[in-house]
Amino acid sequence: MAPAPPSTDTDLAAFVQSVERAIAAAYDRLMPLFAEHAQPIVAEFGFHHVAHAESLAHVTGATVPVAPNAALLTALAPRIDAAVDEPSALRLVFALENQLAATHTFSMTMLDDAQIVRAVATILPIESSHAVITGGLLGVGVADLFPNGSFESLLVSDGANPRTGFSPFSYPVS
Amino acid sequence: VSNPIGRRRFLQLGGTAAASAVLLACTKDDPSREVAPGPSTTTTLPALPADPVDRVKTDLAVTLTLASLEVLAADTYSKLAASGLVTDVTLATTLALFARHHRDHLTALNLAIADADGAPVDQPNSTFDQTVVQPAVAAATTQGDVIAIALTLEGTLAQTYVYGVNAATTPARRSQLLSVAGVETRHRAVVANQLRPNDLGYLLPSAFAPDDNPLPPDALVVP
Repeated sequence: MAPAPPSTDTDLAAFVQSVERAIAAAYDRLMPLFAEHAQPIVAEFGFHHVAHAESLAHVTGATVPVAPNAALLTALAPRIDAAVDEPSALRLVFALENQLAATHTFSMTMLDDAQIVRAVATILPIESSHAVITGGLLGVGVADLFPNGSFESLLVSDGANPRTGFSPFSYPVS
Repeated sequence: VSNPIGRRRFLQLGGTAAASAVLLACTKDDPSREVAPGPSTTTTLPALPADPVDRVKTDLAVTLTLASLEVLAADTYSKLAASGLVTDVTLATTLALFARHHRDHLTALNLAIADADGAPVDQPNSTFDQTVVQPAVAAATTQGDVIAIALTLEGTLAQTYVYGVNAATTPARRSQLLSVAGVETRHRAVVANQLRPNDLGYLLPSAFAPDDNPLPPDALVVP
């Protein structure tokens, strides 16, 4: 039987944890592509994503860490494989940070638990900053650092569109 | 039962008047010293009113306050653009983009305010303007001073939005505020990254955004 999409705040927090850990795992795979300048920056982003997952686990009282989202890692594999040098790897990081921001904003449309709300509210701005810093490394123009204009996107999908986040319906926690 | 003192207390809980403090810490030689408030040290949620009616009023008060800050930010960028202090074309374009975003945010907030039977906001936050922004604008003599003011405005707005998420009463309101918090944080990161490119200790001093109230006392706009 296929895993069910999240139906409670705790389930949704577990989904977001699994996405954070999947992104951290993706960065581990990309790391050899980064030179001396970008490598510590992306590594720090990865540490942040693990910290975010741990924070969400803490506020939900989880005793066992949620694993990286397996379905998402499978879906990301071709994009990771397509990154063959630092610029292409940074472009992927830029896209993933924007997609992670959208995933958090989407989750907020359903969350009601005060502690989980608070955790997500302190996490999303960091993903947004990651995107800007990565865009700076790429030399992206200022307007393009705001891929959804004046507001963060709250749309999710299968993630093929880099302007949307990752849907818990496409990537349920296994 | 309405409890204005309780609402005001809510917005002041955890407040450090950090914005005015950091702006005063700015120097002309090093605008990057003007930073948004650091990571929150708050470990518990602010005491939200227990009464559902008061919670809705608190939500409205925070929204009115945010709207007044958006007016202030857009107006301040217009003044700075006209001041002749901004000589770099990229910075001028950047601040114009930010001003447009702030006007979009104001429009969205005023729609939410109208839904709550409040009066639309078209005036800047007088307390923050008089205690923080006006003195800084009056003293500004260099482009570095302009950047310092932008950092203060964007850092304060971003943190107040994160703070406001916790005061909002519905998921729809929370997601709206969070979607703006992310963009205000991007604004701050853009300016900060121009000052100290890729200096992560400066750009991201923590893995988590601060969520306590950064506003000076009496900055709350009470309906």
